[in-house]
This record gives sequence, C-alpha cells and structure tokens, in this order.
Amino acid sequence: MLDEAWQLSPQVALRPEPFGALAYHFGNRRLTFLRRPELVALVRGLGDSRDVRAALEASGLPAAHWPAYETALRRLAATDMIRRVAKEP
Amino acid sequence: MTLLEDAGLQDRQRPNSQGDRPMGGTLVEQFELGLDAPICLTWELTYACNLACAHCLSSSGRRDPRELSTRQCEAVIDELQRMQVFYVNIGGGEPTIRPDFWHLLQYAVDHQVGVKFSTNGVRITPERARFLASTDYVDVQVSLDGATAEVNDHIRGPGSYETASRALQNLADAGFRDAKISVVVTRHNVGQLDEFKALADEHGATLRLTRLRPSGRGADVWDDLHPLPEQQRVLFDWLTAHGENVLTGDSFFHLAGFGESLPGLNLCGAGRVVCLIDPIGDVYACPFAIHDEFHAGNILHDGGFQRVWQTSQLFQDLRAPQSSGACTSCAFYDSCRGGCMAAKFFTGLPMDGPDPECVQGYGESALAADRVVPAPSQDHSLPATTRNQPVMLQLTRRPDLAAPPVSACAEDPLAGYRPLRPH
Amino acid sequence: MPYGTACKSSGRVITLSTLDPQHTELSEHTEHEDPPVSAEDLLEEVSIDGMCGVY
Repeated sequence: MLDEAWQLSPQVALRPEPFGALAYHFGNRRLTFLRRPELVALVRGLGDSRDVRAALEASGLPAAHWPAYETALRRLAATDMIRRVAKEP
Repeated sequence: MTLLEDAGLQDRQRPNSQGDRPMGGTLVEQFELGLDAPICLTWELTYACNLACAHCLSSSGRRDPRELSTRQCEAVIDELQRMQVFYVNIGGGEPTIRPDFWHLLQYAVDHQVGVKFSTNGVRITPERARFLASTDYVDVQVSLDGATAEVNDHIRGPGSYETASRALQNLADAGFRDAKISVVVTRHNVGQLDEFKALADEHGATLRLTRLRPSGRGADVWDDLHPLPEQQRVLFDWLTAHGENVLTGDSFFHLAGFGESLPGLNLCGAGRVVCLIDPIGDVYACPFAIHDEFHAGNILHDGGFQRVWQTSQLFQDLRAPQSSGACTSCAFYDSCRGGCMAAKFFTGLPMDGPDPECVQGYGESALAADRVVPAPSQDHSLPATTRNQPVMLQLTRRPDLAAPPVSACAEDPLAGYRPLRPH
Repeated sequence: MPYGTACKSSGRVITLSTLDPQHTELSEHTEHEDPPVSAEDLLEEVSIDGMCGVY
C-alpha cells in the first residue's frame, strides 16, 4: 500500500469535528469516526501525494506511528472510504 | 450525485470547538458533549395520517394548519446541506400523504442529504416502487408491528398489515434493495421475532426492532403493551443470538444491564447527535420526547435550525454532564446510563432515577410508588373514531362462567346443573 | 517568525522564548517518547443506525 496512490472516494463526505472528523459514505452508508486530526489530514492529503509513503512523509508523523496509520488506511479501504487511484495506462 | 466538495468545510463555524471542551476520551464521551451538527435527525413532515395506531409517538392523525410550506421545507433541506447532516429520517404522521413529498425527496437527494423515510406503505404503488428503486440515496422503512395481520392490526388498525405487505411486495418486485421493516416490540409481538426475520428475508429487506416508548398515544397503552421483564430477557437473548443483521436504532441500550452491550453506541443521542424537527418547525430533543419539557426552539422563530441546534438552552443542558442521581450506586449505570429520559418522563419517573424498564427491577419499584404521569402538551389525533382506528379489545372469558349458557332445547335433564363444591 | 524546532510529539515549535519547565533543555526535549498509537485509537466504525433517538 505504501507505494500505491490512494484518494478519498468520491461518495464520501468528510465533516470536521472538534476531535477529528466524521466520514460518511453515501453509497454504502458506512459511518467512520476519524479520531485524530493527524489521520484526517493524512486522508485529505492522500490524493495530493504521489503515494501513501509520500503522504506519510508529508504528514510529519513519527515513523513509529506509521504502521498504525497504515492499518487505519487499510480499514478505510475495506469500507471503500478511500480508493486506489487507477494507474495511467 | 455529483462530487461532494469539502472545500467549504473549513469555513463552517464550530462553536463547540471553542471554550472548555475536553479532548480525548472515548467516542461516546465526545458525543455526550454534543456536536456542531446532528449526525442524523428525524424530520416529521406532517401530523396527518391515514392510520390511527394505538401507540403513535407523535399522536398523529390531523394535519396541523401551521405545517411548513414547501418552500420552508426546502429551506430546512438547504440548512441541513450546509451543516452536512448526512441523512434525515423523514416520518410523520404518514409523510407520503403530503402532496409535495416526492418533490421534497428529490430536493433532499439533489442537495447532498440522504433520506430514509418511514411509511405505513399506503402510497407505495408499483409505480412509486419503481421510482424508488431507480433513485440513489433513498432508503424506505415500512412500519409493521405484527408478523401476522391479527397481531399487527390490533395496534395499527384493520387493513394495515395488508397495506404494509403490499408495499413490501411492490418494492421487492421493483428491485428495490434492502428496504427496512421497522417493528416496535410489544408484549404481543415479542413471540414473533423469528417470523419477523423470515418476513424480512423473504422480501430482501432488513429487520429493525425498536423500543416502545410511553410517548404520544403510547402513554395510554404503555401499561398494556410494554414487554414484561421476562420478555425483555427473551428479546435481549434473541438479539444477541440472531441479531447480526438486525438493526435496533440503538433503542435497547437500557438492556445493557443484562450483560454484553448490544451493537450501537449505547448512548442517548437526544440533543447530542440527533433531534427532531416537527411538522410546524418545532425542534425537540428526539421524536420520543415531543413535549414542552423537551422543546428546544422553533426554526421559524428562533433563527433557523442551526441556531437552535447550537445554542438552545435545552441542548446545552443535555450536553452537560448528567447526574446519575439515584442510580449512582448501581454497578450497571456505566452501561445503561440510566436508560431513556423519554420513558422516564412519560411514566412520571424522575430523570435522575431508573428507567421504568430497568433490567435490575428498580424501575418496577419506582412505578409502584407515587408518581404523576404528565399531561400531553399536544395531541394531533383525529377527534372521532375513524374506520382505520384499531379497537384494542382483549377477548376474555367472564371468570364466573364455567360453560356456555344452556340452550332452551337441551335434552339432558342435568344440563346446566352445577354441583356445590365442598368447602 | 521565531526560529525553532518542532516537538515531534506535540508539534509545538520550541524557541528560546517559549522554553518552559516542560521543555527546559532541547536535548531532554528530543528524548520525549512518542506515546504508542494503535489503529483503534485512530478510527471507529459505527452503524448510521447506531445512535438512539431516530425512529
């Protein structure tokens, strides 16, 4: 996943909250709470980064935390909150 | 639906993020402090209804002449869009009997507000079902309170089972996927849980079981209809065993005292993450709390829905830490949170004491003590008996009769003779 | 703009003028342990039907 390009799914609304954000997928009606502002920033910045690794680097998160954030991203992927960007042909 | 833009989010005001709001803690603890916008809310579009269900939480029947106009409803939807309320549960009364219902449905969907509407099925014709099947972001919830006409119509009135069934069938035939069948669990239908599940499976629908509250007309029938303590246990066990694909709207969090919490936040969302907008624009803490006591404001008179949600005194009070009061010493308070405030209020119990259906039995003792059931602050019921009105007769036998009356044509000389019992 | 270095844990920029008892020496400061984080701390999924008060 680290070397792949990902982005927020188009049917997902990200609503800021004091503690982070609410993510709601209008298609599958899943509701996820992003509990840390760092995760929110990471998710928002995914689409602007070359790949997940670059997004993590840009986030300033300590490397020790990267595995947890990657797991979180995988869970978001499992509910289609984020999607892999299709490669250019 | 077009691409959702979050560019505008940075500008949205966040009053709750200022001041002394503590960060961290569990998600539930954060929610109890309230959010800047509801996550979802119930919007009753009309008090008019073609049915007269015995337990109606909104005492519906008659249209209120002050009902919001189409334009006013559109303005509500515009606000919900700005606030990013993800979805609204539209109900009533019977929302589909408003002439502009289908227009408002489309308007909501076109403005990034997902809709689930609750209906008794009366207007879900095959044509409407096909329209719904072709529309994204709309969910349909059909109300049913018995897996058989006998049990259902006892509460909802003659013909109501047939109407709901037909609606479900029309939806299934039209290819509408995953409609909801929403059931209020009562003393009389708690034995039909498997049948309800089968009904949902047959129609490709999802079953939803919810709690009966003594709200609206429910106050009049609650004593007779609410599940008995042993039935609550049956319900809890059934949900634990079979409830994987069954929704509950988190309405049984008061049963958390039985053991492992059921799925859901186990939190009273009223005024914190959910609320009600009623047909005349009044805002209440939740649809089970339609009473002056839980009235937060009015969208027309108090500057719009966002203003009411964010600044009403009632909601500030609900978002402050609540007292556990008489429940403080109970080991289960952490899981049940003292139960449902509407259930307590409408049975005349104190807010800081046990739920009337407290699984530890403290509610029963409280109910047996002196209490004053509050008078309703409003009633939209139709004044005269209508043909749809349920007649909740219980067929019983006179205790003094041992046998049917003796016919005048009886040939047996001992007919009707009852020997005296020895003392 | 003050010239300083950002704390990896809190993100706060530490400059000579912002030194406080928690950050008395930069060398001590950079030895702060980042508290461990798990995916459960980061996100939680809830059913849209999972909050009470909607019928």
